[in-house]
Amino acid sequence: MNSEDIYKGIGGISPDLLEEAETHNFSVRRKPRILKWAAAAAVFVVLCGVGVYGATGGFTVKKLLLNGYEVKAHISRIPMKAIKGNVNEASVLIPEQYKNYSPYSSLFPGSFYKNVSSAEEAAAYIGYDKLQIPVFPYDHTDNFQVAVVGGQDGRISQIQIMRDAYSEKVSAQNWTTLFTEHYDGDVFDIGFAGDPSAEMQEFTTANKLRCIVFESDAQLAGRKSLTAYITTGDVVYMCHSAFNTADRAEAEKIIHDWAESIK
Amino acid sequence: MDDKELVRLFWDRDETALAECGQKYGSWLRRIAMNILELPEDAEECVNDALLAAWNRIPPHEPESLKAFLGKLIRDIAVSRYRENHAARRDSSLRVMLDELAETVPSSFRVEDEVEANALSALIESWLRAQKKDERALFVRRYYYGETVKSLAAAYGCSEQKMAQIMLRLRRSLKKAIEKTEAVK
Repeated sequence: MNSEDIYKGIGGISPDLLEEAETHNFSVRRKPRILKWAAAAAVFVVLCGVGVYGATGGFTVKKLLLNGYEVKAHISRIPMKAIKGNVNEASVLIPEQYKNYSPYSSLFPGSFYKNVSSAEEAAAYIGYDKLQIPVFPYDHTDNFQVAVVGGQDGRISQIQIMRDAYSEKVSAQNWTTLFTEHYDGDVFDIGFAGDPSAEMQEFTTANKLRCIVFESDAQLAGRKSLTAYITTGDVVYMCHSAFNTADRAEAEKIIHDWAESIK
Repeated sequence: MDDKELVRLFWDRDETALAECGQKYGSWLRRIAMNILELPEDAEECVNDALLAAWNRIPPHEPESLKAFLGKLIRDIAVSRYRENHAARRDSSLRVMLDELAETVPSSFRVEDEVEANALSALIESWLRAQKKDERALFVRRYYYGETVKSLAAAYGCSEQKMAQIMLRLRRSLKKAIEKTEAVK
């Protein structure tokens, strides 16, 4: 026998041992790196850099050995009867897209976009009483839409408010997502698999909501990003900011203000 | 797409199996190959070779775990590639890992055929299951995935020196387990 026999022998171990090694939560924790704004929060638990698999408030987080994290939100699909706004017009408009679809002259059917000019307009258009509109950092918004996803049968599966904005230093995105009873996917798979640079931290807001934050280096031109998630009222709230290292404070403030505005 | 559907595509000789498999497991396979070979181009070729090997072996194989099946292929292919390259530096990742594993090898033990190789796998697995969870995970990450001692130390929250000691203790324990089995034979 030689060392290669042992090496190959290890290659024959059962899949459950491989899975365990990828997801195991080591009992010894690394010293946390604390974000400045999060240090002020009442509770701050750091989960970065160690194997994590467990429920963290409204989320299930699985640390992958090789590819960052997998995150799933703990939410229920919202019954359509709870969505009372004009967004229901999409259940007529989307089937028409399918009916009138032409491969050479139409957008691919199944999505409907409504441009809005204010948070209040977006909330009224959807008409879901648990929906909140978190604060957004800039008055100027480049893109402010409600996106609706539906099927040929007119069933609406997903509704999303999307806002993008840019300052000279930081770009920010703010997505608020509702999954309806007709959504047939895995309940909100956030992802982050494929980004080995991602590190996750978690804090509790003044309103007792858990907020998970991913920091990633996987941006273009050496920029970093912070992406935060909160769930409440079966709605998933996301805020993303991309920045150069020197502008970190502004990016952190965007995340902080956004998180604290959700009740 | 789940693994059963993927294996079905292989059995149906549907070439989309390769693309789907590459999409699902490509980065995972690439990282294992990279840990062994340290060369992105070689690692990429190994991933392609592993997918091709899977295409050639399924059927007749119908692996219960496609991930483990692919993991075994990529490790074997990466070792072969390593041998081919063999301007083998003494400090290459695989060389270091194999040198460490040499400490677990009792001189009398022989692995002559596949049956004995399978018996060795079963023995290692049995030994692994007797270890604490932390140490089991560390051992698999080091000697299956080829993760470096430095990276494991960072994940575990200890110094590299401490991690090297943990690994040394585990290798000695495995060697004893193998010797014990040999003595019973």
